[in-house]
Amino acid sequence: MKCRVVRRKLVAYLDGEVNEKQKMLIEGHLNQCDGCKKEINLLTKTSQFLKSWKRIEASEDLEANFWKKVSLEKERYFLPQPILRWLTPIALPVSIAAVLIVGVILGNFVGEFTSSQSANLWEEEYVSLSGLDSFQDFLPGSVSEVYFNLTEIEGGK
Amino acid sequence: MLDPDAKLMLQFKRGKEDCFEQLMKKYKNRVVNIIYKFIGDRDEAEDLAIEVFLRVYKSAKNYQAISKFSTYLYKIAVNLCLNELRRRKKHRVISLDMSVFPDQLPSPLNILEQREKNALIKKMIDTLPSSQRTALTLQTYEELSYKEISKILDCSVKGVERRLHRAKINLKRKLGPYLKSEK
Repeated sequence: MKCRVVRRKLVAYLDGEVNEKQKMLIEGHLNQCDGCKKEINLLTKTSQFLKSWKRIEASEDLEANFWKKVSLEKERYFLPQPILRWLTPIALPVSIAAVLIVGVILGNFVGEFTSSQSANLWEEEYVSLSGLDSFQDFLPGSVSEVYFNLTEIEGGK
Repeated sequence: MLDPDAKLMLQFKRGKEDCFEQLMKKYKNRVVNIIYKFIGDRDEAEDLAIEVFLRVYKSAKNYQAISKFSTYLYKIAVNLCLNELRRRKKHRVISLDMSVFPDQLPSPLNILEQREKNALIKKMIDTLPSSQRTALTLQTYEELSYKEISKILDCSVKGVERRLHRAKINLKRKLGPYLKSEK
């Protein structure tokens, strides 16, 4: 077995991830090759050095904090959903019907208001067009007033 | 045969909340440690561990026991860590917490040595690409097999072997000066 091939397998060999045949071949090579022996020593030291970063213990309140968060999530997320799911088939048609009813009532009201306004406008327009709004009383003491009064007395007789 | 932890998860799916408590008791330290190796801050590691368990809790209705429960759990933890690291890279968050362990009661000198050592290991591991770093963390600190790691990382066993080979060769080179002083 060549050094290049062995060195590519050394990490897996140290991790116990080679099969029996590969293990025998590697061990046979290591007995004869000082270079590869040195390499495996360095890799072993590297692994040991990395493992010296020891484990930590989770704090005692981790679980309590988790369950607190679960209950908060339940309040925020889990609870409204079934209620919404239950409400949706009722709420949707009810809201559509309410919008329609309000629309009809508003439409009626606006219709009545605009038609009464246009009726008033029509009357004003008629008076103005027939010239009735331009009729004025005679000036007091004028000839026209005297003549009008006389004809009225004549007619009365 | 079904993994006993996957069975517990299925029971939780059917409504038995105490099964989830059992799973959490069993895995909380492992999850915290995996995250701690990525993040390097104890408090943040615990917050993220809670997030991992919360995701498992919420997705229980979709859970299918197709692999070991630990694989499913570690996959969520690893993905969360990688997302967090991506976010940090964007916002350049640096953590300086390299705590040692209260149960060991080491001397002040040992604390300093251990802290320096932890910081050095973290710094070296951080220089690796995320795929190598993830494989190395799961293999070195959680002692998972290449097969289990391949399932978590969605790659082949050969792929895991290559990543670990490159990672350890890289670290051997970088840690060279420190390894000479190690007994």
